[in-house]
Amino acid sequence: MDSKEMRARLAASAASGQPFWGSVVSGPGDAARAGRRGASWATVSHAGALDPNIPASAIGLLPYADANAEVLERRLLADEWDMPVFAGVFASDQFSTFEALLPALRRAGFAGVQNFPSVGLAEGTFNAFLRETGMDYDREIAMAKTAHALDFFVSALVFTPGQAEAMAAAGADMLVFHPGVNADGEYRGRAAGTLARLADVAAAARESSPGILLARMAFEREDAPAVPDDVPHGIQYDRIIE
Amino acid sequence: MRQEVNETFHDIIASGAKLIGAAVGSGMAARHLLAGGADFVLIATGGRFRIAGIPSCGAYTPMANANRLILDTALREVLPRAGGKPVIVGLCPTDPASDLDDLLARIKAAGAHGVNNFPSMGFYDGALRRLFERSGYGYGREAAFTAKAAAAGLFTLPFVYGEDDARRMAEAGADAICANLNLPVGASSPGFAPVSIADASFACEKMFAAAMKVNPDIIRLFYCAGPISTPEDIDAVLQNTGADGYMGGSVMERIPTAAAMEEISSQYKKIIHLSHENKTLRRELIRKKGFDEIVGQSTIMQDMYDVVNKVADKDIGILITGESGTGKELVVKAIHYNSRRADRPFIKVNCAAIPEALLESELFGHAKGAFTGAMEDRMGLFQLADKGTLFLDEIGEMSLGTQAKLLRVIQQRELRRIGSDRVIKLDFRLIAATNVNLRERVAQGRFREDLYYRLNVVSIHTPALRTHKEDIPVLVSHFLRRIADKLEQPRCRLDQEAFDALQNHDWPGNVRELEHALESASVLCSDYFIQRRHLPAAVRGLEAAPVPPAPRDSARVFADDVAAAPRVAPPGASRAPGDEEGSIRAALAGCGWRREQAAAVLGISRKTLYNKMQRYGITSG
Repeated sequence: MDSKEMRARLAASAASGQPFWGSVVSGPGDAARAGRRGASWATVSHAGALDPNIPASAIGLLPYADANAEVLERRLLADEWDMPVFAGVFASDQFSTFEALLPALRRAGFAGVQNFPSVGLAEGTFNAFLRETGMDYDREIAMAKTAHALDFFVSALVFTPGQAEAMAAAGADMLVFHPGVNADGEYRGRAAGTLARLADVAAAARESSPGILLARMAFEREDAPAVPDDVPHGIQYDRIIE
Repeated sequence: MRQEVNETFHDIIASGAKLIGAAVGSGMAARHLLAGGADFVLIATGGRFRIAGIPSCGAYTPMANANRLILDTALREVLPRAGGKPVIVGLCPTDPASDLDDLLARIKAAGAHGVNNFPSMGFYDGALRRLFERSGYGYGREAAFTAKAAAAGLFTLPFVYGEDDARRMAEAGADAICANLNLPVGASSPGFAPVSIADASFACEKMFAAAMKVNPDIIRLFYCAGPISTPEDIDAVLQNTGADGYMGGSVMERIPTAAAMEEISSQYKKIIHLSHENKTLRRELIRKKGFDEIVGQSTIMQDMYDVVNKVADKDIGILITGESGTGKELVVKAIHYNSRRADRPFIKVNCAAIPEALLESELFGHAKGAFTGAMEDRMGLFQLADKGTLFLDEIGEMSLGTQAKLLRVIQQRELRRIGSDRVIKLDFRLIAATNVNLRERVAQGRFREDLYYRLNVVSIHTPALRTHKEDIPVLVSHFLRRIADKLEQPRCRLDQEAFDALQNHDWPGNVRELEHALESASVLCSDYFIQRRHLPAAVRGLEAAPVPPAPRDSARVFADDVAAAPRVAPPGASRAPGDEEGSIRAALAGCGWRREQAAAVLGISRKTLYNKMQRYGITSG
């Protein structure tokens, strides 16, 4: 499925009023399950195969794997699924350049990318070091820009309205709002204010890209909302929810 | 293994010496650091990433499986080259994909002496860290791993990041702890390493005390990158805290290696280029005489190089204009040494320095008895410059009479010595320089218009230093290197305040004034570390700037060429002292926005530079 078809299918799916959701998947089993349940898209990442007791978007950041190499190894899956499949790209990877990685993903059958895992979740010292060394979220924006120029479908994980605006300007087709972690180390998936923050993200992004698709990250089973909504959006599950 | 290492380390400590370890990323680094006297090496992915040219914080991200990567390096590179000295392997205890028992068995079988917890959860902080902790991926897993390794008979040297970590590791039976000061430890601003020796000492003391409450004999080391990195700094922390030793990372491996590699590749590049063929060699060696001395990467200087390159091979009149001290003579030399006349004489005449009565004789020569005191025939400078280049400096000071004679020689390419009828044919290239406005002098009737146009086929302007301050960092680096050679001493460094002062000064004496200021500071400073107080008062903004004298580098130079230069900075032209933002921007621009180089020029750490860039909102070039 090429990026043009991805855009058409996801736009139609979002506009249909039917549940509009996707998931992070790690392999054929996950993908099959997501497909059976009516997923509209999937993001391939090694993180989906790691410890299910911790969100994939968090554990995926730890030095337990070569994230991009593992996605490339799952190459055969992309062609087999009848839904948009995005390669989860760890954009801070210093062992490759976007100019080398993105064509390799294309050859592996991917026509869409998502910045997953994302260092947007990093804070404090960790984030400061990443920023100092040029491995911070700006690199994910640069990746999105390059991918857009290479005609990939770009789904962008964003944590703030500023990132949403930057990703929309970089050419993202879809934004997935990640609500982050609260001070107690809990995901804020259902915390009060999440939807309000989503509205801020939507407003920031839609100013520069009115037709951009919108979703938010969820970490546990939710009844996937139908669109339209107050802030029309879909859901991307952090991993396949049983 | 465990007992053996413990005995060795305790013996070293008992002897009054300090333990010195090195965190490395390759077999070569391990081999040479151990050969240099390190007591042990830690092989961990941080070093592996560094040696790959990737910042070591990349070791905390999903670019590789830390344990697989380091096992391969430890077993295949480091252990075979350690000569039996202690090798500690940094393993990631929280990796869910690793069988820790199997890892410990494998490194032990391969001859490793101990383990450390790297990459550690201690690196992460804030809400993300709390998420890891509550999900079972916390530091407690690392303490459990340490206990497991100790039980397996391996020496344990875990990184600790705070008092609680230190206590937990001591309780787990760690043989040693290494206080990792790269992270917030309560004694410094969050996010970065302690910036002072006092901060670092305080942080260490707290961690050591917590561990010693559990095990008074535990070996106490510390690890610190960033601002505390010199052997002297480290010694101060060792003395303050009673630490048993220190483990170094990039200061022992990447920093010295990277600098040496850059220098050597630059040397080879030059040499190989030169040896391409003899003709090229000669040409390039000659070229070196000229261009190496002209320093500056700014656009204004690049434009000037471009013109110099274009005119060097053309036998046309060139007029160099520019304030005193801007390097007019260097430009003339660059032209000469890059022209076909390069192996012929280069003769300089300072027209302002020779009394008018003597100038004609100096230029054209005289016959014996031509005037009182002409005891013998004498060649003039024109004749000495035959086949070469004659450089007439301060041409604006020449009298109209001499100008007329000069014009005739230029037009006819021949001269007669004073008092002689013999015509001498000449082949010379004439380049003139001035720091006055010759066009104005023509208008005033003080300079011949025909001579002006004859001299000024192409004009080259050497810019005042205040118009290309972005070159100050590279000029400082160049001069400090040259001064170190001249004084036969190590190269001096500048602190931030001194650099700010250089950046804020308007340099009425231009590059020459900068060189002299650095030379005097190099002599006056202590420990080869230049502080603001070592700089001349004028540079510190305490008094109007005197213009330094010109160098007397030739018997033919009779006087300074500074007479016409402004003696004081223009009112209001100076930037306020302490314009740190400007200094930082200039250093970054001068170093091509390479933060590490800019930090070195500014005499601050990369992290401090980054902090300051954040503060001033400096994001890119």
